[in-house]
Amino acid sequence: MNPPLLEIDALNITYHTDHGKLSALRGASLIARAGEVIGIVGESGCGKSTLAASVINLLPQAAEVTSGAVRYKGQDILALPPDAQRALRGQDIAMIFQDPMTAFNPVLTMGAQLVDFQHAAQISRAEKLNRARALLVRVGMPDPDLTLRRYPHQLSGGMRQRVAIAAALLMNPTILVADEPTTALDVTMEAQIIHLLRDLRRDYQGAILVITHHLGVVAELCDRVYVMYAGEVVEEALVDDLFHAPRHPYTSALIACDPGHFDEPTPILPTIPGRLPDLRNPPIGCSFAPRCPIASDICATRPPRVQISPTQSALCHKALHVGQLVTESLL
Amino acid sequence: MTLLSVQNLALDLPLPGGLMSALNPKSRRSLQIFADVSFTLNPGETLGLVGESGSGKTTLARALLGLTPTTHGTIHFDDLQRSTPADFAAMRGRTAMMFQDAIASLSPRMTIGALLTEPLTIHGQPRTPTKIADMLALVGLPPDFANRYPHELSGGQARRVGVARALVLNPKLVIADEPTAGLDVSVQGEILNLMTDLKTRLNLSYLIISHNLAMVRHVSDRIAVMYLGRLVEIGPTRQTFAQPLHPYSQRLIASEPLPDPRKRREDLAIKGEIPSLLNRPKACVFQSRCPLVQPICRNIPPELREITPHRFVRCHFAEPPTGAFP
Repeated sequence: MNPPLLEIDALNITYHTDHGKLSALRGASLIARAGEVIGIVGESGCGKSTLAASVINLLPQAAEVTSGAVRYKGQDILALPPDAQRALRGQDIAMIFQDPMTAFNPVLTMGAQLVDFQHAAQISRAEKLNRARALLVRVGMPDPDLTLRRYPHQLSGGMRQRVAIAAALLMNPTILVADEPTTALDVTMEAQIIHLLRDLRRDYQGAILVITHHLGVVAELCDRVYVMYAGEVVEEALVDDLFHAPRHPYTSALIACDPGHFDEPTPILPTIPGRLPDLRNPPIGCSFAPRCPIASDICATRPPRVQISPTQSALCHKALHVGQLVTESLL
Repeated sequence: MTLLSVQNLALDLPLPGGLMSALNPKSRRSLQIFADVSFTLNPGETLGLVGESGSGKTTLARALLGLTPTTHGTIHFDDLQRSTPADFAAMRGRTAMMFQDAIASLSPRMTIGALLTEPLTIHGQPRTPTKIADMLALVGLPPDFANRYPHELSGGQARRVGVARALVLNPKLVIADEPTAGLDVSVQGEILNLMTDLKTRLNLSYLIISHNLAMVRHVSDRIAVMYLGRLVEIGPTRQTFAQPLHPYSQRLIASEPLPDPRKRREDLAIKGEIPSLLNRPKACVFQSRCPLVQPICRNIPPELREITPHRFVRCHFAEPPTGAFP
């Protein structure tokens, strides 16, 4: 197996807020190898965006990394000096943001920005423009020369997202982080962007990290998935195992709640009762236990990470017994 | 008997013109937001209106309540035609709207209690001492929420307040614009189950506007698909999803990513993107993206035809569905 390109190791991140310290990430670990599309899925407040931001160390001021490491090709990037971190951004690790409108400067043309993004490359402006044009063709822009002369507001949301993907690929990065790449788009555009990313991975040598709350996007696009809840990675699995043999009750519940999952209309949709624990004061035991349909006394103690197979693990006392039980109890 | 009946509704907005148009009003251009919209809604029925951004769904909803003027067509509510502002004001006590952004639609300086009784004050209706607690209980919130402010609510709780506020005046028709947008999937079900439950208990009719097909599918009796200001297909939800008859509905439904890696879609259902309203295609609005396009589609605008009982499709080539459906 390839050595990991990216390794997040037991990362703990705390936010200093007006209301005290908030543990946004609690021992989150992740591995991404070349050629893989990794999904990071969870609901609002689970820490998935914090995890994504840590990969290129674009964490807000209030965030503090209390322990753990983010290793890129074996080197801890959080320990690097700011200059060295900056050199990695865009060059080795690139990001596609959720909102393709705010990702671009509104007063510069796309051409000017796509050239600027290559400021570190030792090639002429004409070569940079050619490279930008070639990538616009690659991402399926119908008229690349016209696009280069356009301002961001003159392009539709879907088109801007295509240009954002082209921009991220300009320096041929090894890791591409896509934070909710289709959330701002309509369903037909979403399908097109999913197809584009799927298509890109065939000749792209690096790893792609897709952060999303949308299980449909995960199922369509990813090879391996990390499910997050309350700052922890609660399950890690190959995409097929995740959807067909989930081992954490939260994963089962999340899949059961997705209305896209039913072939027939149902009058009552399953829900997960209760709410997220307060991360200013995280629980000692399992953080999902208060909402879990199969929780028992043991769940008040710290759950183990149960290794189901070489590719699947779950942070649950009952990982070996989770199954239909959860799905049934939700209805 | 129908609760709401809309016939050939259309809205053209004048575009701001330059000096020439001020001198010559006839040269003014206008922008067609929607046209030829006809449908009915029965008491106790839920109609799902789906379409992509810019298809005109939200503007249509506003027009139905008289919040946006229309240029052609008629709206009947409770068998009375509604056209003047006074007509709409008279029906507003029996219609309600749940707005897209639940938190932004609640005034930040008013308590939840004050927000819930405001419609009663506006409509001059008496308010009983237990009204606030009753409304909160109806949507599953504890009574002490009456003293909270909107910023103290989570997204799901704000939606519940939005439902309560919509129902204060005992409306017959509730228009819900993206009732679950921005909610997590585990909370989305709660709001939809609440709306379904209240519909049965209070015999409400819903018009649910959304771009989320999977959600609409579970809560609607009938579904209307809108594209670039035209209804292209209306029919019972189950049959429409099982076998959509308009090429756009077919591709829209096939574009939805399914939460099952064994059902990955290898072919791209729909290419290109929705044209700008300024470049609205002549005749059939879907011609620029339709794989079945023929010369007739560029010359003759298709009518909304009843292809089989209860199923209406705006396409020259739509045919009755094959096979039998329950």
